[in-house]
Amino acid sequence: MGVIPQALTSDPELTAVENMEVHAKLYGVPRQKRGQIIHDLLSDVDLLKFKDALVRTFSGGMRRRLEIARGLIHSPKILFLDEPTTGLDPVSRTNVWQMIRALREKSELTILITTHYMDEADKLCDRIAIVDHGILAALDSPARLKDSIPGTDTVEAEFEKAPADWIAQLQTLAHVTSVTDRDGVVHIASNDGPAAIAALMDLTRSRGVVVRRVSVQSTTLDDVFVHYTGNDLRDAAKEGARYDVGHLYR
Amino acid sequence: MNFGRTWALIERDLRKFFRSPALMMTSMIFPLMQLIVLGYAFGGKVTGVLVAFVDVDHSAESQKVREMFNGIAAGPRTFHVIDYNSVQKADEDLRNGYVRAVIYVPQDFSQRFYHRDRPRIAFMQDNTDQFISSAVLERVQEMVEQLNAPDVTPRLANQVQLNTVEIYPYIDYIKYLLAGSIALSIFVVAMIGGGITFIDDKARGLHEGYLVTPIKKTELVAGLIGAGTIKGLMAGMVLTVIGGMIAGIPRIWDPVRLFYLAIVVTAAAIAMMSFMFLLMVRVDDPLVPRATFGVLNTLLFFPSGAVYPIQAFPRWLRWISIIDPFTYTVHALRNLTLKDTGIGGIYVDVLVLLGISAVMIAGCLALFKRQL
Repeated sequence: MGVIPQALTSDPELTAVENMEVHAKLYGVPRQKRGQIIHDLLSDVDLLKFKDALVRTFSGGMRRRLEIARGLIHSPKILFLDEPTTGLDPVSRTNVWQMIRALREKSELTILITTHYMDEADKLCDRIAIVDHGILAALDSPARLKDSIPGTDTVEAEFEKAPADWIAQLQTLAHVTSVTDRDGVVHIASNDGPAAIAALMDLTRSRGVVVRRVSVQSTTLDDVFVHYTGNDLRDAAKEGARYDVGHLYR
Repeated sequence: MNFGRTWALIERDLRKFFRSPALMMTSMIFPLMQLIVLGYAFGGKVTGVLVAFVDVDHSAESQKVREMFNGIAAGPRTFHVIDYNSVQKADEDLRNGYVRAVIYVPQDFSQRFYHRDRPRIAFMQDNTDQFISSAVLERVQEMVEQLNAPDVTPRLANQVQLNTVEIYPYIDYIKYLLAGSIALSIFVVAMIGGGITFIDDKARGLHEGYLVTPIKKTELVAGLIGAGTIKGLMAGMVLTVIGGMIAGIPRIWDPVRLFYLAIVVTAAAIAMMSFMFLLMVRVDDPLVPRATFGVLNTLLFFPSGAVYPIQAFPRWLRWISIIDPFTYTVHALRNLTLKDTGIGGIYVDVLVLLGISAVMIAGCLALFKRQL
């Protein structure tokens, strides 16, 4: 089993290779295999050309990739990643995602990710468990989880030359569950977004209404999460809060 | 226990140590600077103390006293004598700090001397500085003894004479202080490497990285203490050699003595490192080791007899000396550097240091929490 903690735990005063070597020794990887494994893993995470650079010169994304490689040093069957992209910029995050996808495709490794980013879970995971206050609230594939909630695709639209009873007419459309007008922007909740848009277009043509803008937003895992856990804020003082001493080592 | 895992941690710490010249220099420079500054500041003899001489007798005998002062001013130069005409003026200058002492030869000094009627010289001194006043008083008493010496030595002496044999050559204070400075260099490494870096690594989450591996508590503690001991040994031995050369310890390169010194330094490094880990094992806040550095330095260094003999301490302070690993380190190092005693003069101290280490390590293992 390999574990990558949430915090960046690679040693900034050591090089990438030295960090890998320390962990290889801690995991008891035989001396003869160490060099090749480290070379291959650093190559996999695209850090081979930085192998002798001190980790303190690395970006957050590079450190995370190094730590993922480090977590694989002993060829585990299961890899736990605790919030692997927390604190990373969008480019680094995408990079880490690509790496995790490549790992998944390349090996038989089971990867378990904990994350607060629902889009991350949606992009990376085959199965998602939603845990609320330590209790498993839902467990399924992303698509099935989305289908499991009373479903709403939301169509947003703005119209010109709409008649006075336009909202009432929209409510009669097939697949539409509710319609609200917020400052001229009409929100149409539907259990089948594409079908609702087709019906909407037919209606606007027949009534001579001009469509200025239209968009459809599918159900997201954020909606799923909120559905299963509720809207209450989860504020809690964290035990053993970490002290920031990074400035002392700059 | 897997020594491979323990060695991995030792190797990591040593790499970091060698990669940080600031850390290496700090652990050497602070004790070396202290050795040089304190060694020369405290080791010197008192010279040039301003002494007022008031002679209102103006006789051949009072002139003899004056000449004795002149002799000291020219020889050991403890005093610089200034003649005063008025005892009131001399007293005023003494109280205002312009002179340190006043010798007053009264008007009837010679008269009493010839009548054998207890001739007296008044000696007034500023006793706010005990060190200077005792040095001046010692010289003045020597002079008085010379004045009292009979002109003709009795043929059959009936006074007891003390023949003093000093079994070692004269020891400069800087040599005396060297043992304390070596112990201090080990302590600085323990404090920085064992205290500050340990807590900083913990605060930066680096320990979390190790705790997710199969490493055991004993291996982790052994690795951290082992690394600190090696760093302490290196710092201690470098300071022994450089400090020994600065202080002028003869035959500092003698390999047998260096070997014994290495044994003492190693035992001291284990004791101080394990002591430091015991103190820091449950600490998370990086400010704590930094804040306690000065307190621990005072509490461990000074009661050890490094700068002043333990025999001069009050009883409560002697108790601190007894439980202080510095005490045994300083004693053993002083036996080797000043007396070249060999193993006979150090083995008790080494055993005590190892005993202290065993207790501290047991404490570390009991208190160390192997959890994320």
